[in-house]
Amino acid sequence: MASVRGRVVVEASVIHLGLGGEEKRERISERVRSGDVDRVVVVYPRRHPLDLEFSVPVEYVEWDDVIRYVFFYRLLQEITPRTLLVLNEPLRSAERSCLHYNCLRNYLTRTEQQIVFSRFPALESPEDFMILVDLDTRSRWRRSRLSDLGEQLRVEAADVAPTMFRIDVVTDAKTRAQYEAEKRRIIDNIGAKDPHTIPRQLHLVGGKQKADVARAHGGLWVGRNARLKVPGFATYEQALEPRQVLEFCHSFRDWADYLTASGATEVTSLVSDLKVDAWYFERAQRWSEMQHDAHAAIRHHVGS
Amino acid sequence: MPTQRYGTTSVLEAARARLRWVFDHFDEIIVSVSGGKDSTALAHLALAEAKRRGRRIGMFFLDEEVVYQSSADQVEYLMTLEPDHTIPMWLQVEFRLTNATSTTEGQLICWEAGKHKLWMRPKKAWSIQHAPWDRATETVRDRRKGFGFYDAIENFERCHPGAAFLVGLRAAGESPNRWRAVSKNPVTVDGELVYWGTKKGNGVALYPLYDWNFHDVWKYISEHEVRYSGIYDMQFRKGYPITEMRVSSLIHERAFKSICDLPEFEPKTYDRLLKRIKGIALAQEHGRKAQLFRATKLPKNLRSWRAYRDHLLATHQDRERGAIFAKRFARQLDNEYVARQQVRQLVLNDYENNVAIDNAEDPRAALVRYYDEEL
Repeated sequence: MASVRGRVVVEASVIHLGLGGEEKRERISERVRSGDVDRVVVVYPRRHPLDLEFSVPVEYVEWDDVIRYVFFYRLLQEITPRTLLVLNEPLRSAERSCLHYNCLRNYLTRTEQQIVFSRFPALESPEDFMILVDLDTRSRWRRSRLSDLGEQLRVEAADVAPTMFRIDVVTDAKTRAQYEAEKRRIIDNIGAKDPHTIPRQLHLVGGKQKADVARAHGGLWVGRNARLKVPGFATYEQALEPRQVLEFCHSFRDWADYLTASGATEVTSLVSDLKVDAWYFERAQRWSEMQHDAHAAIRHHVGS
Repeated sequence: MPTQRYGTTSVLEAARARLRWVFDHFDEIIVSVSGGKDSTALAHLALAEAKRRGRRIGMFFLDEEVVYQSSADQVEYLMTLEPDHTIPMWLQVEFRLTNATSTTEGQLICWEAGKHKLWMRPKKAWSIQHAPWDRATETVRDRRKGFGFYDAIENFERCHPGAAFLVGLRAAGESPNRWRAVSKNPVTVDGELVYWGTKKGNGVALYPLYDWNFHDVWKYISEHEVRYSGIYDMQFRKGYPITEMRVSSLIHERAFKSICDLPEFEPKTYDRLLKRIKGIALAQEHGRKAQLFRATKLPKNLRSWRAYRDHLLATHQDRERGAIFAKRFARQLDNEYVARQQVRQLVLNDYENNVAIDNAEDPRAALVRYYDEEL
């Protein structure tokens, strides 16, 4: 990618947003058939493996291994211009200069063929899309912004951000009093702890009442851990199909991972009358809106 | 803001061109070496140019005594690589180094007279063993700390007015601050503005490798089959991150963690270091522990960083240095964020304020307030 009079000219392939596993395999097959590819290297996070069967050799590199010397220097030597580098769900951090991305950019300097799949265009803000652009364009430039993008960039985009629905749960006076006491206790003792501990911990307070509603309601549920012993429950780590939300996870990456692995496009959540539950629900709604905004910005600046 | 442009010249060719320019403009050229990879690459490049022109260059090494044996060996290798084109300047004189590993022996006097039996290794027969500058006009930055590392360098440089000191400092990639420091103070040589150098007393310091990155250096060393310190191989095998792969002094605030692996890398050096200065065994065992030198976790019985800081100040073993800390901390904000950094200075015995403190409000405080109001 090079900068010409403030616009970004891109020598890219296509960034694929919102595709499922089968569609990803099809896109890779097309590239292998049409391109001059003698080897495929798939970089994937543990949560999103991608099985491929091709006539050319396929190597799978887990996300955590991307930065390890034993992989880094070997791959730098082994990746050639005829290697297709598949980056599956590489949006793992909103930090555009994180070590993983830097290592991937080094791998990308060795090949001319890459393919980037991401279910969502952003993690925390629409600008995160530029991380995918950096990867897809093998760019050394990290200062260009979404508004710098030109029509040369091609994006295959399906907006799959979930629509949020809620089931309200009323808690008793004792739980509400416990919530206030717990809030004071956590804030007063925050010390050197991470401040995000506050909502994380408070979100657990209304758990029992929500678990009662979940049992009565039936169906599949997802939550942080199995402490509430609700039938049909799975943790965010385990969930592979769309489920109702018993409690939210705090990290957007975990949330995106769950939505990617499950393919959920509609999410129903239990929301108690404790303030933290409403805060988490609205936060998830805002996250979906942010995804729509990112898609709108991509359409505006790029054109699909 | 400076813009990076990618042209057709490689950093190696650019560095060679810079060296040719240096040889054209300076009669006296001195390469500073440390035994590390950067100065190795620079010295190798400079020697090649000196050989081509049939000239001799100085090779300066300020020996801190407490360095890896491999570093000293590497310096000797560089100084003897092209003897016809090298003027060895191996400086082994007394100066003070901060010892981050002990509160009772906060400084090491390198090559201290009368302690030759404890020295890490004997002095080189051909090294400079007495200060070559005039003691009467010797400059000292801070009398309270005494004659230190930078004082030795500055005074040595004053002995060579008009010389070009070549330094293997790299500013690309890893440190934007360093890049800014190098490029914002260009030096003028024969009417020409040089952005890869800075003024140094009566001479200039030039950084021909300033735009090289970590990989450029290793590529050069590999392709030219230059010998390098074996410590790098050991650090690589142990999975050291790039930023921690260093072979400089073993005891200052930023490098003392090297002591943790020293018994494994160089058992004999570790053995001598134990006898040479206090605090080594403690640093070897606890150098990477969150509760001690890293100061990222509070000891069990203390509930706040302020309490920990006050405890360390109250029980400080050296009154004079304790007072330096107390005076400095009194000028700083009193919050947990600053207190943690103050604790780090105390446990590192950093009375010189080398590991700087970010004297600001706790960045977490705004977030805690937000959660208090919203939840």
